[in-house]
Amino acid sequence: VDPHAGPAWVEALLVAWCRELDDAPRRLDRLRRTLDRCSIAVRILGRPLTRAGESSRDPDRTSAVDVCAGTAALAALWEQGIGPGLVASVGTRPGLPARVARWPAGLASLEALVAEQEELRKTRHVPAIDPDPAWTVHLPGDDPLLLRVEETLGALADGEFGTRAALAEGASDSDPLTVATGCYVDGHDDGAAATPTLLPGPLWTQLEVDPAVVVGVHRVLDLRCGLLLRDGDGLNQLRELRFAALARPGTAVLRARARTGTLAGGPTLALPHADIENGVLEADETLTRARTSSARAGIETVAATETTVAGVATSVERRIVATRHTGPHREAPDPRRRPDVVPALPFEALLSEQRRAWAARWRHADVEIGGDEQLTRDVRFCLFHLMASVAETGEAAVGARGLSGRAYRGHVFWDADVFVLPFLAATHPAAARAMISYRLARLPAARAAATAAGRAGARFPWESADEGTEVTPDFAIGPEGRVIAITSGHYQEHITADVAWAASHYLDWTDDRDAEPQIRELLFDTARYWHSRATTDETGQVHLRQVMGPDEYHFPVDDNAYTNGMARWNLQRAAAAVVPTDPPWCRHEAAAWRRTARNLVDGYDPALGRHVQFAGFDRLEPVLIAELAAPPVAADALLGAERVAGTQVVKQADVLMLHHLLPDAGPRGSLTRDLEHYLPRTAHGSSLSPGIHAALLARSGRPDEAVEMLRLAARMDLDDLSQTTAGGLHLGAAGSVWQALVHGFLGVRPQRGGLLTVDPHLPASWTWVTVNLLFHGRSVRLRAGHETLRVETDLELTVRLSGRDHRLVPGATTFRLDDDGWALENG
Amino acid sequence: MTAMPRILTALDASATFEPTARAAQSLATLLNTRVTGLHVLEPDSPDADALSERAGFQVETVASTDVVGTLRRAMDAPDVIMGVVGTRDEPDGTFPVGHVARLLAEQLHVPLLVVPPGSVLGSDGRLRRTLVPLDGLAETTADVEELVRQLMAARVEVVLTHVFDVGHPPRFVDEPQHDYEAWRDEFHSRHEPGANRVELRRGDPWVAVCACAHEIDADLIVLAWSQDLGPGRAAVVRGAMADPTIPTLLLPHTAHTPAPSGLPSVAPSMHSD
Repeated sequence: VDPHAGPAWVEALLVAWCRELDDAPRRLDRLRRTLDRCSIAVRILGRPLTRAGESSRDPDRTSAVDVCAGTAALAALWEQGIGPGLVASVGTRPGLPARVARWPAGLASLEALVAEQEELRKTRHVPAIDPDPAWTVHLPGDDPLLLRVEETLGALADGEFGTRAALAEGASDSDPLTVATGCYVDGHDDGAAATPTLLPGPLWTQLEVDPAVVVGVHRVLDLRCGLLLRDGDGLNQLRELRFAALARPGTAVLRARARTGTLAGGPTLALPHADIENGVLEADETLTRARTSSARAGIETVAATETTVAGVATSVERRIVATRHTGPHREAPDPRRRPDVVPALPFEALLSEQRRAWAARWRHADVEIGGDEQLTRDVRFCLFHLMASVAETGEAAVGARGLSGRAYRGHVFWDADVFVLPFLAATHPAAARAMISYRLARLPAARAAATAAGRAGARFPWESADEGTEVTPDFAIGPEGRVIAITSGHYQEHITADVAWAASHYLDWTDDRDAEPQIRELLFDTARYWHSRATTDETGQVHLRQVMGPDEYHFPVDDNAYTNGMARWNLQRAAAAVVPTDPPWCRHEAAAWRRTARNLVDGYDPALGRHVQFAGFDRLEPVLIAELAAPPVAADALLGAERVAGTQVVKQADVLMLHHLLPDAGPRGSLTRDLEHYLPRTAHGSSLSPGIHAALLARSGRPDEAVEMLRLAARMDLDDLSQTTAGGLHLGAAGSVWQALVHGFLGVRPQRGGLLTVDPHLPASWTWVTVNLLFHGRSVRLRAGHETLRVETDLELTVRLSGRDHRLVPGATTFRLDDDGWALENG
Repeated sequence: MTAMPRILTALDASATFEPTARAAQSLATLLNTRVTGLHVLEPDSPDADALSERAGFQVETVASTDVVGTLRRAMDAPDVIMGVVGTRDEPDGTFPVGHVARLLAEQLHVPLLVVPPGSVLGSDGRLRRTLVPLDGLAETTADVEELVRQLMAARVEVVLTHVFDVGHPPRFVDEPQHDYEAWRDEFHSRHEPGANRVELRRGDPWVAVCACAHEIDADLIVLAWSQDLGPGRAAVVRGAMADPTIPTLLLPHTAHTPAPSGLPSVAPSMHSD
């Protein structure tokens, strides 16, 4: 039995007892007295644990546990974020998971447990987490070289604020950081350093610990509930639990406990490193207030720390509330004015809320792979950080490394639109909507960029920060020690179509009619850009010259298949969005877009049965990547950009990326041919590459190869494969993992008009895979095996399987794979 | 009574004499210790007094046909914390360039400074800048850690370099304008946060290290290694022996001499180079 459990654990205990209580109603009074002492109230089977007519209980103290007993109780608790590892059964029952603690039967045993809980709460013990290996990531802390990597892996965020997992006692090599979405500070110096970067906010996780321990501190990240637990095994036996409250962004909490004399609250807040000029730190008797600000944004934090000494143990509890503002010359709203200002809610209440909030988030997002628990956990790790990194209201500026580190300076790339957004569109539409809002709000800047380039419409920047202007650095110092010019901001124009694709994809998943008018404007403006950007030759063919595709080893090139394919889709999609009630000039414009799209060369060579990546690609030195190095490898860094540019080695999916985003864009059979041709030429030098190839290999009927690519993508940060995870998580790669599972292995595609296509391809090593989705407001749960597919939905749903449409009623429907494809079981 | 720690330099009457003696003296000054010389007698060798006068420190002579064995035994003396040896500028017809240095390096338990002909360790006898190639393994870093700390304390600029080669390729570089900086920052933090900076290079490791050393005008290269010159191992050390252009200090990871304060020590490690 976990001695550190909180009230939720007690609730679980009582739920397991309800049957006994029903059998022995006369014991209720005695139990009620015990519960009153603990300030815990429980309802069982919908009935409050009070006598009829009684209304003495404070409703705020009444837990909403409304369940039955046994395994059904466990299921109900699971929905509250309470896993079996936090549940005790008083008396044994058949079918209980092994992690459920068994206590002797009898009311005396129950009362002893409740009394123990009361004591634990009084003395502010640090609660436990459910140690489920499929839901926990261990940060062993035994390698000092990986200190900053673990700070990234254990970063906690609530969508708006993110805090790296720095140790409470600090470390000389540590990189503690708190940042807020959309909050930037001007750069200085030159190169990348000249561009805006994330504004570091006040730090809140530091404690005074003696002796300080920085090696061998074992911590566990609870993916299911967004908790980071330090287990107290270190030299100073400091046990700590911290979390960023998902349900109330800006609020964060930690509780720590250690031997008296070894722990103190220390400075409640601290300003980040010295180059923050506008830092303010002040404190009164109860609260500490700190603020960092720039000409672009500000972050303000109020915190309270309470220290409790109970004999040999000292507990420290800290709660913070942070607010942020963007734009110049404005104060962040004073966090103390917020209704949930510290310290209004007790730690246990915030913890219960946190568990419920994350459980609710996972309800529509969880995945499970039968036969591969580690891969399940690794995928969940990716999804956890994706969910934590994106705000669900307002605008979400999702940088390439999210809210977990300084690398990439918080700049927003196509990673956000094409790799991160699809997951959120299908699991948490509010967050995807916030990402779309970020782009929509920067449409004026994109229009200005197009105008400056002598084009019409809107041109989005390759790298974007708060203003939506181009912030791609001009140069970098390469591995030759020399300056290399960076031209992706100039040539990588496909970002404009990527943004449009993401907005359209959001509509495909959500059918969000409210957002449609604004997205239509975005589609029109981006189509106008492509129309004005294209040139027509003497034969009438339309070209996009001097661009850079996702394969950044070759530039500038003419008629990059990906760029042209995406531009063509953009033109067609915008034209399709024009309705008869639009003004005539708009319909004329749409006709011109269709004409341009029709004549835009796409690189497909019917004789070869595949696409040519760009004009002249096949004339490059026909080198396969295996001849140069074993992939994945950053071929340009290893061999030099000039050497690689002369070969057919490509960085990542380019032609194949088009197949991924637009599965119907290429002629029938071209995916197989393109995969056969380009995969051996692909270095996978981008972290975005393995996940996309996993999706395509699965779709192409090569799932056993695909699963190895999926593993690589899912371990990108867990294994620090890029050796830059210390600077932050690779959110794009994380997004590609979900896409590989859902679009690749399950073959799920949302269609406009409310049709969901499913086409599973499972590797031999999996027994089944389960995903949860939201599609057009429906909760959908798919469980695919090698020969069966179960679809659960809470509203009517049309799915397409093996080319046949099936209208499903709410509930579960099972399909079976036979010689003719998927068919209704018993149908 | 414990003898004062010393640097022992192998000297002969060739053109390597002056650079080797000067390099030994420079390091002795930097590390606040003394230096002695040893000359293994050959026919027509000058006497010890003449050599001592030429070197500026005491040089002993020993008559032996086993040059390497004699030097190794002398350098393994308990009070010797570092050996210094020069390399001839021409093959002598019997052994490849640097064969004495190579054999000593493989066998010694203390660091060995290899001094190429014509080289000068530092400006006016003062070491200004050191290049420390690191392969990214914790063991290698541990091997150089103490020396780097002492060099930094002596106001010697320390530049780390890492070479991307086929054996140690970078796996992912998403955006060069961000990733190289992030990579350098993290490498710097992990491997010697006290060092002045990190220089990334690519290609053949020794060629890249040499080129980098010349580009940054390094006086000294510091290499940690596992004393294994077997096939496929220690490419940089092999290069340093065969084609030396800059004085190179080899730190064997097995050499763990309890060093007095102010002297280099080499921590035991699982170095795998």
